[in-house]
Amino acid sequence: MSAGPRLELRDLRVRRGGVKALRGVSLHVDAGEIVALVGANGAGKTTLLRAISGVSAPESGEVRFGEQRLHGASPRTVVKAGIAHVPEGSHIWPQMTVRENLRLGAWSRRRARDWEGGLSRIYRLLPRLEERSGQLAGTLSGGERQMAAIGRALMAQPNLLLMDEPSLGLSPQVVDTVFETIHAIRGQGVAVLLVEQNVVRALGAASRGYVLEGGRIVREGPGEALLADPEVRRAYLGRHA
Amino acid sequence: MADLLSVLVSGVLVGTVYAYMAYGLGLIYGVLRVVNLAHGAFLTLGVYVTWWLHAAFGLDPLVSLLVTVPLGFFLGALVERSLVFRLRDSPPVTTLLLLFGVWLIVRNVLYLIFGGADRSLLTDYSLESFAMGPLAVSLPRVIVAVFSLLGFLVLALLLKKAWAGLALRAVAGDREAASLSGIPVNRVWAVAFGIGSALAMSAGSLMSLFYSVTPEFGARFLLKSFCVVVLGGLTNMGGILVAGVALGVAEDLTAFYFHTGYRDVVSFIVLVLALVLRRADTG
Ligand SMILES: Nc1ncnc2c1ncn2[C@@H]1O[C@H](COP(=O)(O)OP(=O)(O)O)[C@@H](O)[C@H]1O
Ligand SMILES: [Mg+2]
Repeated sequence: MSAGPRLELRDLRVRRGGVKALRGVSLHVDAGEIVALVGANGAGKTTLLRAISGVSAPESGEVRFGEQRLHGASPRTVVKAGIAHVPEGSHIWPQMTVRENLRLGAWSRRRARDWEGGLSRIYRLLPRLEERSGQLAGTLSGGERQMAAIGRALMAQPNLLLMDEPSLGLSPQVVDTVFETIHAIRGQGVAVLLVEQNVVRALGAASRGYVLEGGRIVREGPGEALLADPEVRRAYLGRHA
Repeated sequence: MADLLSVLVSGVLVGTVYAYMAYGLGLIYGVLRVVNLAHGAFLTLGVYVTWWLHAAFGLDPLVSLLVTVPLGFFLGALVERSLVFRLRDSPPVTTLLLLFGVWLIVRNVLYLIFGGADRSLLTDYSLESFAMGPLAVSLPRVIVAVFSLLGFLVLALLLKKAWAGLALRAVAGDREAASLSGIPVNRVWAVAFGIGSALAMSAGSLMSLFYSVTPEFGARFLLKSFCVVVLGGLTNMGGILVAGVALGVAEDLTAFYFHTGYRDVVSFIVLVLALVLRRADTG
């Protein structure tokens, strides 16, 4: 698979409901790498992903994906540019079948008429979804919903996948499956920007990581270095370590 | 016995067009979360356009569907783009009042042009009926029921199979997820308003076959549309079909056992009961 474009944010500032949720964030994700973005509740992680995918408009700063400037672009443009977003809490359509959910993920490619080819690729990656394909998505377990949301985002055939807390509320075994899937996705040449509260798992899986605090990046570096950082350990691993 | 059976059959036939007439209201609510009081305007415009095409050019009401469907779509999309869309960040009551205003304007313009007299549209088959065993079944009612069911079928297929239909359901189900999948939510809103209004206007065409044409047409049938949609579960097509038929039958039974004058009270009572029961149901 050819290397995709690089995502680059420069001095991104975003307000949400009058609150300065991001106060100048710069980061980058190279083609095909897994980058973790960790931080406490309310740090601005979701806001950051929403600003990249065009759901909330940034106040200032730059979002570039390769040659394309995505600052202020619509979600439609962002998807077409090759960035797909798995939102916090999966947001699948419970009243639709799994297959319909996946088909809608291919909306941006509907004119290519090859969405069914994409579907079989997703079924190979996530065989559980094929077993459940005719079932209403609302009847899925928490882990399966997350898989359906990931599958839906992959149907757009992105170069970069934004994932917002994919392991939230899942049992440890299911979390393992989610992380295996993330590695498999990377194995297909898709880069992943992974937002997690599960700091150990996320930094363990990522090649690099960023720590977000109060809307600013306060630490960055290779995943293992951040895991070993005493400050990070004290702030985020106090209870787990 | 045969009388009662005739009443039931006729109620079922009328009920299908009630469902057809009401569905657009539910669709627009589902996709935009807007209560479209201009639905009354589109119903009225539908009967007037159909009546006028018949009076001026002798066009059959069923042929005028070729006019009212696209015209309804265009006008509905126009109302959404020019009015509803601009108010998307205002409180819902603003949109409600605005659409009520659209209806009042249409109604008063019709009064100005055509006056308040009841008019009716008579075709060669308006009074035809045929025998089904012991029953006499009205031909226009059968025709209208067939068209309504066909319309429902086409719509159901669209929503189940077509990209556009899936997009409508996606926006109705979860606007944010739709947006993140690259679906142009704004455009889907306009399309939903267009389809809902096309349904209302074309329902007017069908209903001109057996209801009189007055500027108050919309008032009478908007209330019934609300009744059907609330009873049937807003966007649930099957539920709306059942609710439409139930209302049609209930009205005809009321007219049969009591008095025709009570016919229009039925929908009001059913609406109140449905709202109260639904409240009790949910909490
Ligand atoms: N819809 C909203 N309206 C107003 N403020 C919000 C909204 N969503 C989030 N915020 C605020 O923005 C900041 C960042 O939130 P968020 O990006 O959701 O954090 P995280 O995903 O890291 O938990 C928080 O201070 C939060 O209170
Ligand atoms: Mg969050």
